Amino acid sequence: MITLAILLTIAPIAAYVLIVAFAQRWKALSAGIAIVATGGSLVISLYLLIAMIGNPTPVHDAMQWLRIPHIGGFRGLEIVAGVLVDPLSALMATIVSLVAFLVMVYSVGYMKGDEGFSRYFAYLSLFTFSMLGLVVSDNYFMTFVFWELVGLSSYLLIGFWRLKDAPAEASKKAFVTNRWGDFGFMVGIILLFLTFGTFDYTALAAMIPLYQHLGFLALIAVLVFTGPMGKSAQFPFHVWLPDAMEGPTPVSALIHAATMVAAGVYLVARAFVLFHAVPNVMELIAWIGGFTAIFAALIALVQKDIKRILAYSTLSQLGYMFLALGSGSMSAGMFHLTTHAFFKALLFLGAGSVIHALEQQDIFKMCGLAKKMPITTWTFVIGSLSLGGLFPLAGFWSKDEILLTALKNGQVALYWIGVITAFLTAFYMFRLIFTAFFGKEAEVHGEHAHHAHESPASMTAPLIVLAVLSVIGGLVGSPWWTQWFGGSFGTFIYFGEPEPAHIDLAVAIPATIVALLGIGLAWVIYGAKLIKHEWLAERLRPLHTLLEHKFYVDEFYAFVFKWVMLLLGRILDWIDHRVIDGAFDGLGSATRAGGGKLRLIQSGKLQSYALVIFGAVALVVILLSTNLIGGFVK
Amino acid sequence: MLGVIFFYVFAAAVVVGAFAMVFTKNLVHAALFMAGTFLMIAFLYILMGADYVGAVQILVYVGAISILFVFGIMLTKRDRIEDSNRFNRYGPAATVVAILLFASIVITTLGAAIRNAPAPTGDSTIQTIANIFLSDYVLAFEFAGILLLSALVGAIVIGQGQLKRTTKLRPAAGGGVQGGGGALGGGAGVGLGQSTKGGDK
Amino acid sequence: MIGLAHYLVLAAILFCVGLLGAIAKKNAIAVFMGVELMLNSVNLNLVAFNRFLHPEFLGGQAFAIFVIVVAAAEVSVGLAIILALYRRKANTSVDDIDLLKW
Repeated sequence: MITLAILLTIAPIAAYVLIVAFAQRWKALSAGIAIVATGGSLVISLYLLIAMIGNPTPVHDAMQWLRIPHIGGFRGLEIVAGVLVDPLSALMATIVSLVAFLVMVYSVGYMKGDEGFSRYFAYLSLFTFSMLGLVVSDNYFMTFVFWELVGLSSYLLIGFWRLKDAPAEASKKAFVTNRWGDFGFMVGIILLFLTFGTFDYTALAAMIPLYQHLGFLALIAVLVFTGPMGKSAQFPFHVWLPDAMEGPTPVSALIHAATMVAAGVYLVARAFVLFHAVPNVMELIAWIGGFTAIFAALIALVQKDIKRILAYSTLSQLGYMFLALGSGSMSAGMFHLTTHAFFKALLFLGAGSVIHALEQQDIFKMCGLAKKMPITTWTFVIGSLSLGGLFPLAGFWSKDEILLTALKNGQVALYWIGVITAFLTAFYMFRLIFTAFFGKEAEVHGEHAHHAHESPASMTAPLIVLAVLSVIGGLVGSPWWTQWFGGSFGTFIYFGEPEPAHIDLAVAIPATIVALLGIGLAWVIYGAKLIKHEWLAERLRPLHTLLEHKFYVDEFYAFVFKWVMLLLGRILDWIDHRVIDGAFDGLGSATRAGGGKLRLIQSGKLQSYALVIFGAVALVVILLSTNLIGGFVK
Repeated sequence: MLGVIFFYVFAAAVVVGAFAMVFTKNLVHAALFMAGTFLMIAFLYILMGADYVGAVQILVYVGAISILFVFGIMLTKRDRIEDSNRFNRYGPAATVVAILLFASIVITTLGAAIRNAPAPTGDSTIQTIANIFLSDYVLAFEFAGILLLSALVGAIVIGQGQLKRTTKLRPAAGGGVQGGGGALGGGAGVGLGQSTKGGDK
Repeated sequence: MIGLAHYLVLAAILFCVGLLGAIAKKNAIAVFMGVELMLNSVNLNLVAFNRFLHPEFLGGQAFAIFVIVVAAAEVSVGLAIILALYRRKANTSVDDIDLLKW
């Protein structure tokens, strides 16, 4: 099983190496290699998942990587590289390889004719490798390594069209923003290691509960949590994700919907024992999640770019996941991650299909797509319904579980935030659908819409697969599943006690009603146009402006950057140049001056050399023969 | 008893000759003192029963090398010969080093326990040495011959100088020095080749 | 009785005087003479060791002869070099030869 887990990780990196080294010229070959490798990973991860369902005992193996022995006051350092296969990692690996596989198949159609076709597949393979490595690694150190690799490959993919300004800027923004989170993460890991002397998840899980009284643990937990905050784009690190939509749309589906941003959620789940030990930090996680959920949903209301709407929706849903985790249910969070991966990947790929057909991202410039692109349209609708949380689609079950968790753990305020967000979610998704897919053709100003056409099979097939999963994927967390198979999601992946699936009508019915309300309101404004949205925007001008500017967070950051960071940078630059550089330059010039004086010894006169040599010989002989001299005197 | 007297006489002559060679101001006198010193050393060899080495010493050192030195002096010296053998500025330091070295050698020598072997029989050593040269040291013997040959060629090439068209002596000198070094290391063929090459330039 | 120690001390005197000449003389030919003196002191040592430690095997004497051979070669080449230098620099002072300088 360990071998399989390693193989699972190695397949994509092997594909990456093969593509970069040999296959770059043959586009079809590159895509083939990447797809076959990821398909192999998918098969292996499915096998692992099934094996784990059969016997959920974690399998763990590690080898020593680096060992610095205990020397004096230094406590030594031991870093192992290992693989941990348990239900959590098996599930996550399956999601990652499944979405990656579908996205790769989809990309064959989407990226057709792009000059960087091979490079694209190489990057995708690299990303898949990093993500799978992150999933199966068994300690914080390895996780951090792969975490950074994920960040790197995400940077490469966002900035894939590197010659254009916007993607290049966006990739930089993503990278730098992630750096803030990663820095905290790294410090947290180091503190963790200093406190407990190990990076290993399993060992830490045994140790941390014994140290719950440690106030220090809260600091560690918060620092470790900044990593997921950056990677999962939670407020205040959310700014990079919408901009990251400059990358190719399948990349957005893979990275910024299903896998990479879910890495943060995964890490919190993986390190759940750490957070669970500090209730205050759990509270913080829940509130950050809840705030991001509603905050991003509000911004999504006024966005015009189809991908940005989805991006803010992703933020909002990630907020949901953190809300669930923070409320104490790892099961609910991971369940929503799973279902969200299906329907959000579906939505992104659907959006990609639309963009591919129209070369247009503004939803108000597309309309009537329902007739020209039926598969795309209906899969998109299924995805939106699932995201909106309508019974019995996947999103319903996971969202329901989250709301139930919040309510059960006494987070009433968070529960209401969740409900409002559900309403907003349904509203903005159907705003998009009514405008883009069912609008009247007469109102179109863009000329592309006329020759829109359905995408090729390589693109629609993944859509259909994901649509099916979005419909039935949630059933694993439903009471029916328990009836049929005697278990459910909550009894497979859980922390502490298993959480058997059950449905609370007091939660499910209001959630469904608000979702239907949202859809209805969207129909009133954008479908039937009973109320003109321009008029509404005029009436709510200040709010609309605020939302359109995304609560001015970017502007605030720019301001901070300009006035605080640059000023600080100038000061540090001065210190660096004058003090530090001065010291080292001084050292250098001192050495050079010393050398200039010393080289005068090399006079080139043979006799001086001979003098020194024989003088040294005499001294050495005298020194070596001192005991001989003593003997002579005696 | 006669051997002891002979030793002290010859040893005193050697020491006096050596000092005189170093401290005299006339280079030609120095060469003469050197020849005398070498001759006394040859007598010491014979005193030790090494008659063949003594003979070679007289032939080569006294007969050839000393004369070569005199030639060298005559070919190069053009200002006053009476003041040609001066010390440079390392004189005091060199004296200190020489004394230190002498002290260390003497101390280690006298500190060591030496058991002197009895004097060998008075037969001539020439037959034994010939046997050694043509059996144990035959390879070294041959190489010594090659070394002498290459030194001969090298000396000619370096020394001829102006006879060739080129007036630049540096490449030729360099080649010759390298050739000599190569020959000393045993690679006589290389040394020879380089010497001729340097000369042909 | 005269033993090995006598010869060794004598050779040491020769060597050190030769060293003094080699290091502290201005004229290249005088330097050469010093070197020859040092070589001779080594020869004296070789023969003396041969005589007083292993008189039955004449390896020491053979080596002395090899040293003489090498010294002869060295002197011939060395004097040729001095001649060449003299032609180039018009004197034989070692102080003027500092090509080994940085």
